[in-house]
This record gives sequence, structure tokens and C-alpha cells, in this order.
Amino acid sequence: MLQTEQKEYKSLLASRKLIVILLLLLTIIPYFSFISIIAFKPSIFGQLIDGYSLSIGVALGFILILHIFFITFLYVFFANWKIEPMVNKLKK
Amino acid sequence: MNIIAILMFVVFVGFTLYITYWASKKTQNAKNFYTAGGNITGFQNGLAISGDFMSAASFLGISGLVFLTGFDGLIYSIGFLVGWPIILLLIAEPLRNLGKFSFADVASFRLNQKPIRILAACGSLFTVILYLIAQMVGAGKLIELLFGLPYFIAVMTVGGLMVLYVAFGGMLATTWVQIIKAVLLLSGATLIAILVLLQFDFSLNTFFNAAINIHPKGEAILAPGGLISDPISAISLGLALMFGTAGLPHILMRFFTVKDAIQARKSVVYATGFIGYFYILTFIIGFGAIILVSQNMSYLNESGDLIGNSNMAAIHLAHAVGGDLLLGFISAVAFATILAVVSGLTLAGASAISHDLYANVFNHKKINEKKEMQVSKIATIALGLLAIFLGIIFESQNVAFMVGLAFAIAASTNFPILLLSIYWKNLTTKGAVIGGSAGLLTAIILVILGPVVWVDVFKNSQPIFPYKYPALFSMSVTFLGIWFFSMIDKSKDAQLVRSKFNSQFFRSQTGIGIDKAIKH
Repeated sequence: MLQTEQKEYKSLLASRKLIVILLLLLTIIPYFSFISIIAFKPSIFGQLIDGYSLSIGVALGFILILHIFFITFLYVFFANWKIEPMVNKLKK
Repeated sequence: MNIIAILMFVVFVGFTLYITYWASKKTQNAKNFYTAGGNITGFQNGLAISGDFMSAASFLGISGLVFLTGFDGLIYSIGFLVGWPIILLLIAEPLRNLGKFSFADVASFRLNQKPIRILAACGSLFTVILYLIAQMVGAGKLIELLFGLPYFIAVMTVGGLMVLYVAFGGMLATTWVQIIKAVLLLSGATLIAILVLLQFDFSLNTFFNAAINIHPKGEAILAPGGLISDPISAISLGLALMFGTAGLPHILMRFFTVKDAIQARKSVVYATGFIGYFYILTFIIGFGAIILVSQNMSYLNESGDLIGNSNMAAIHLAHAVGGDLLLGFISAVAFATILAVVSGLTLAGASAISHDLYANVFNHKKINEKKEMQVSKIATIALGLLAIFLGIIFESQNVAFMVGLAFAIAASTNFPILLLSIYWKNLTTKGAVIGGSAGLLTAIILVILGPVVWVDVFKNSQPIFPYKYPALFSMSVTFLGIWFFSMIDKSKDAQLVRSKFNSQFFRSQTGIGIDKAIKH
């Protein structure tokens, strides 16, 4: 590969690495925290939110579902914005 | 027996058979059979993939679990959802960039073909067959309940139809059957949820309040129940669900039906969105059933339990809010759901036999497409017969553990091999084969020795292995095994394999070098 191609490829890999590791952590940490609370201190999730018939657990569960979807959306947004132009440069 | 349901189901089956006929005209070569021509859009694929996850088991099973215990259903829902970011971030694009028809293509890309293909095919077949048995048994019981058909006729009908879809229509037919069913299921479930919430003026507060007041456990249903009771089980189940999704062959297969990595990415976002929305719906439906079904005498039998069992909660709710019409529609959709999922599973299994084992292992890669196609149709019929046979044998068994075991195998065998072959330079064929096989055996043995099989099925008093979920241990065995046996491997094959890594990685990250898709 040419010098310029080398540099472009390396920066592509670096960008990918950054976003992938970041989003992986943003997926794994919330999920396993959620699971751990259920395993170790489920009563936290059982508490009702003041004045409502909704528990912290159910509320956080719904939020986690939305969060997971949002992660996938974030990745595609980033990929189309940053990654694809780099790939197209390499294709030339 | 419900005339409306039967009518709708006949219409659905007729329509899907017509699609199969249409697809069969276009499915004359291997590329179309395995990947539907390669031009499925990200949106269509997302719908099809979500269809695989919105099975009868999740629709009826999870809403049934919510009906019984409330919050715990959410634990499974989130578990089934969390695997998707993992696939998106690590697997989807490299898979599409490196592979042609099956995930074994990718796993064996730079490694020695034969042993890896055999292992990957075994991992796939185990996963597929376990999943199939669970689906067939569930299907038989459900149809027995909904349409009054005898169990073995129900199983034979499902088996027969799925063989037709797959043998004649291949991936094209199964994809479109999934898409149609996904649209029907999402619409039906949305309708039920809307009709339920309408009765509470769409106030979630009033809604949950009513449920708390009716359910015998009161406020406790909004809290975790006994599903996850100790940290090891929690982590093990979490690992199996999170990484097992990335090792399910019938899911991975769908990534080859799209044109390129961009569409592969989009597929996952759409799928995650649909599945997430669906699981929120099942939660609402479960609670709706608590309020509108659990106290209604017409849905209960003499002992006060739900007619059928908790799996019927969503079906009864459909009747409660929408009468016979909605009941008929949802029953037909539940049946459609079963058919779509087992078809996808059968296609994945047939592909493992014809593409991985026959074409690449036994035939030393002398690619004769016509022969491969013939083998895939024979494999489809064989798998269909096997599924019917096993479905009938396992009628009275509790087969829920089989899905868990399928996920554990997917997480401990398929996923690690796939992940490491894409990302780890020092992987060698020996390492992958020894480590992967060890993980596969570990998962199977630990489940057999565990509480579900050793105690519940074999009727012993104490399980030898105390945990229900083996993933933590079997995954560790696989990763350690692969790492160790790769590092000590100094053979010529090992050097060759490592030298190919850089070019493989380049292609996996950029897509430069992949097949051109066929327009369809």
C-alpha cells in the first residue's frame, strides 16, 4: 500500500476503535449494573417513585431499552458521518 | 374452535405459499437460495431479523411471564435486546465484508478450512436443532390449544409447511415470510396495547395502579421476583444472552442478504428498534392481562388458573379487548410467527449441511453448484423430518431449557471463534478447534449435570452442577482454550494463518474486495 493509503487506513482503524470501545462500554456497563442490582440488592428496584404507581426498576428497565436502541443509532450516525468518507477515500 | 382464526390462518398460509412459489422461480442458484440475491435493503432485513426475535416464545412466553410475576419479564426482554449493540459494533460489518453464505465462511477465512467448517457446522447444527425442538413443541401445544388440532397433526403441519418454504423458496421466501409476519405481529400487538391503555386514558400511572390492586402480590410485581437469585446465575445468564445472539446461525445468515456493510449496519438499528418497541408492548400486554383477564371467569378453569397456561395470557387479552375478531387475528399471527422462525432455523441448518459440510469439507471445494443445491433441498427435508420426529417425542418434556442451552452453545462456541478469527492475529486453526470444541462440550455437559436436566428430567435429587446457566464457565473454557492452544502452536499452518491476518483485517474493515450483489 502507498504511504498516503497507509495513513488513511490507520486513521480509519483508530476512529473505529475509539467509537467501538466507547459504545461497547456504554452497553456493557449499564446492562451488567442493572443485572447486578437485581442479583445483589433487588429491593432498590422495588421502591416506588414518590406519588406514582411506578417502580424504579420498571422505569430504569424502560430507560435501558431505549438506551440500547440509542447506542445502535449513535453508531450508525457516527459511521455514516466519519467512517464512510474514509472508506470511500481508500476505495479510490 | 375459532372460525375467524382458522380463516385468517388459511389466508396467511395461502399467501405465504404463493410467495414461496414466486420465490422458487428466482431461487435457481446458490446465491439466491442462501442470500435472496443479496439485495435486501437494510430496512427489510431489519424487519426480517426482528421477526426472528419476536417468536411465539417471546410474544406469548414473555407476556405470560409478566402476567405471572411482573418485573421479571423485563429481565428477559432486556437480555434479548442487549446482544444487538454487540453484533453491530463487532460482528455485522466484518461478517458481511468477509463472508458469502454462512458464518463459517468468515470463521474459516484464513484458517484451515476443513476442521473449522466441521466445528462451526456442529456448533450451528446443535444450536439450530435445540432451538427447533423447543419451537416445535411450543408450536404443537399452541396450535392444539388455539385450533383444536391434535398435537401430532399440528407438529406435522408446521414441519411440512416449513420444508415447503425453505426447499422451494430458500432465503427469499423465508425473508419475506418473516417480514410479513413481523408487520402483522407488531400491528396486532400495538392494537392490543392501545385498546388496553385506552381504558385508562393512556395514563401509565392508573394502569399500573390497577394491576397492583388486582394481582395477589400487589406492589411486589413491580420489583424483581425470583428469576435471578444469585450473582453467578445473573452473570452467566447475562453473558449467554449478550453474546449468544452474536452466535446464532440463523441470525448471522441474514447479514449476507444485504448489499454491503452499510446496509448491514442499518439492519441492526432497525431490528433493535422494532424488537425494543415489541418488548415494551409485551410488558404492557402482560400487565393488561393481569387487569382484564386474571379476574375474568370466562378465561379461567375450575382451579382458578388460566385456560391453557400463562402462555395464553396475551391471547385471552386479545379476546378481552377486541372480541373474536382480534382473537382470531392474533391466533393466526401466533401461528405465522412459529412458521417463520422454524423456517429460518431450518434454512440455517440446511446451509450448514450443504454449504459447510458437503461443498467445502467432503468435496474439497470442487464447487458444483447444482449438486450443492440438491444437497441443500435434501438436507431441508431431512431436517424437517427430524424436527417433526423430535417434536413428537419431546411433547411432554419441559423444553424451555433447550433455548437457554442453544444460547449457551452459541455464546461459547460460535461467537468466540467468529470474534477471534476476525480480530486476533495470533489465532491458529489448532487453537480455534481445540478451544471451540472444549467450550461446546463444557456447555452441553454442564447443562446435563445441572438442575434442569439432572433433577427435573432425570429425577435425581441433587444436581451435580448447581447452576442453571453454564455460559460463564463454558465461555471461559473456550477463550482460555483458544488462547492457550493458539499461543503454543508453532507449526507451519500457524505461521501461514497469522500471515494472512493483515489482508483479511483490511478487507473486514473496508469491504474492499467483496462480491457484487445480484439485482432481484
